[in-house]
Amino acid sequence: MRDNTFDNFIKEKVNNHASAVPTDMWQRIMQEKKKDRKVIWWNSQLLLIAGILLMSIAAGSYFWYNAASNENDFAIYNQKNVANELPSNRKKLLSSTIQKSSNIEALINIEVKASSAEPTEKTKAAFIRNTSSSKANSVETIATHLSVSNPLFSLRNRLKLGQPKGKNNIDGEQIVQPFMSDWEASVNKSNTNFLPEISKLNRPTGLANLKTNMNALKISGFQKIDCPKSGDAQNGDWFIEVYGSPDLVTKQNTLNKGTSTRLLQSKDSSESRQLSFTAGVRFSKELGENMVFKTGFQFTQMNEKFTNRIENERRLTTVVTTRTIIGSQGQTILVKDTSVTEQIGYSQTTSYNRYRSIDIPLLLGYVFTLDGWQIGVNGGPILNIKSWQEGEGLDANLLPVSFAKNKATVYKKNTGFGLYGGVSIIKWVGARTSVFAEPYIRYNLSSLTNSSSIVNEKYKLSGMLLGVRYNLSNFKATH
Amino acid sequence: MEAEDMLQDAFIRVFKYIHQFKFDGSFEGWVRRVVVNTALKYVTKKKLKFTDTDDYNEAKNQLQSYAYSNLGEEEILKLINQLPEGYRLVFNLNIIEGYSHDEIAKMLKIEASTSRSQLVKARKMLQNKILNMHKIAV
Repeated sequence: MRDNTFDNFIKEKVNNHASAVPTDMWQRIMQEKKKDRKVIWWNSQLLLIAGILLMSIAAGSYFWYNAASNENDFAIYNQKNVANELPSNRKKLLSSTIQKSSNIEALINIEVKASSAEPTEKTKAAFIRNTSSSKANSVETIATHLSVSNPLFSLRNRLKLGQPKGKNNIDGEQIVQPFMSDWEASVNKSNTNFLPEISKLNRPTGLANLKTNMNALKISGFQKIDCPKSGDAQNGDWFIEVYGSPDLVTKQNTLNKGTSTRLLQSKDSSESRQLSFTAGVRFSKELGENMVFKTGFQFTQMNEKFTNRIENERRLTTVVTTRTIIGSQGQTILVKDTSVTEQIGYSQTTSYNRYRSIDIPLLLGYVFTLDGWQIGVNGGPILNIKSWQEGEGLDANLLPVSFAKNKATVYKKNTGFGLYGGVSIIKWVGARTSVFAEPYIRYNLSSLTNSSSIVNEKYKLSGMLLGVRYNLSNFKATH
Repeated sequence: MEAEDMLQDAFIRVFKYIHQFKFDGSFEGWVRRVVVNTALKYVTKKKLKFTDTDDYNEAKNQLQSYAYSNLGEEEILKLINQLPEGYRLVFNLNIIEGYSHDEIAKMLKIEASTSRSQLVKARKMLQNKILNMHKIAV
């Protein structure tokens, strides 16, 4: 006997063998399936909440740490660099002290004494900030400007470029006037090499401007300064943001009462999500030092591929096999076997579904600066104003039906509220212009389908907004 | 009991990954593949060893068709279940499920030659068992 004959015999005998399945097997499978779905749902929700918490903690920690370290950095810088950058014969005459009051106010006294050959003057400038919320930015700004080779050069530059806003703020020139008077006298009278940077400046223009501005001010011993942020706009500015994003869509289908699970399975297997997109324009308004409010219009298109296969033809073929067998006594026996083969034909439907919507985001954001980049954490509701859909889907009888934009369909015209969360990274590329990238998650709270629909459909989008931001307000900041 | 667990697990997987079915082939074939893969997962957990067993005689005569043509489905299954696990696995995958030796080698992470030799030995052992059964019957 050949092995093939034996193998074929075994295969024929065993291939169609069916074992009895326990009666409760299907119930067990469905129970396990439900458990599995619940675990996945909980895991995705927990991950979302954990992500938001993590981002909030990271932003808060950074802000807190940044505020503390900037204050220390400024103190160290003031003691070391300011003294080092002056000529050696002036170093010993310069003393800087930094005092910190107990109610978290920073007081910086800089005393400048002229040499014995020159008129001795004592000038005191004080930088006081009254609120802890403005502390970080003010300290950061001062430190940034002192980082130029000469502190006076920096301060003077700032005065030429603009004045800070705010009813409680007093112009930075008030603080600089004593410095300028002192240094101007020194430079004019004797030692022009004393501060090369100042001697190289366009003195008539620069100093004339300063004098004109300073005459209008009254100087007191301790004044408040609130400088605009370097490389950033001033508080209260309006921005316009234009953006676009490739989106990934996650769809969750759930059954309405009285619908069979078979429909849900067929629907899940017939639909596959494709790359989608969002584009929009929004306006953002700065509220205080770090808070931002954003609103505008955005268009979203979710793409989906629908594939369905239905049986449309059955063909029965009868096959008659005739065999001749010669018996042991030489007789011939004719044996006829009749079998029927059934062929099934299917028709396949493929369509590309489009789910479009126009929404208004209402977002609050918290923005902070990190090494020349701005980081923002944005979140809030997103309000749908219009939705329309085109494409094909399954009806209760598992047959494909089309839904069009202007026809009454199972889908809502308005899908209500959703939630939006994102982290934006902003880079300034010009005096008014910046670019940004914002990874985000958007979750629709309600179903896209009507309550009478056989299936509830909820969507979750994640994507990366890429856009340009332009400052619409009067711009007086420095870079 | 183990077979029931495998079946249940396999159907859960079918539902879980049904979106991956691309309508390229038959749905039945896809489900069969999922079931087989699930069963293999259970088997590989046991760290199966493919060893040779010497309880068959190569020199025995070829098995004639009359010796097995009257065997029923249940008897054949009983005999197959008596095979050592490695033999039985390769025999089932190749003869009954129709997988090639290369496919079996990939699934079980063994050499294709090991699969071939296991099949030859499984077949011989099964034939010997059938012959022995006949001897007892006579």
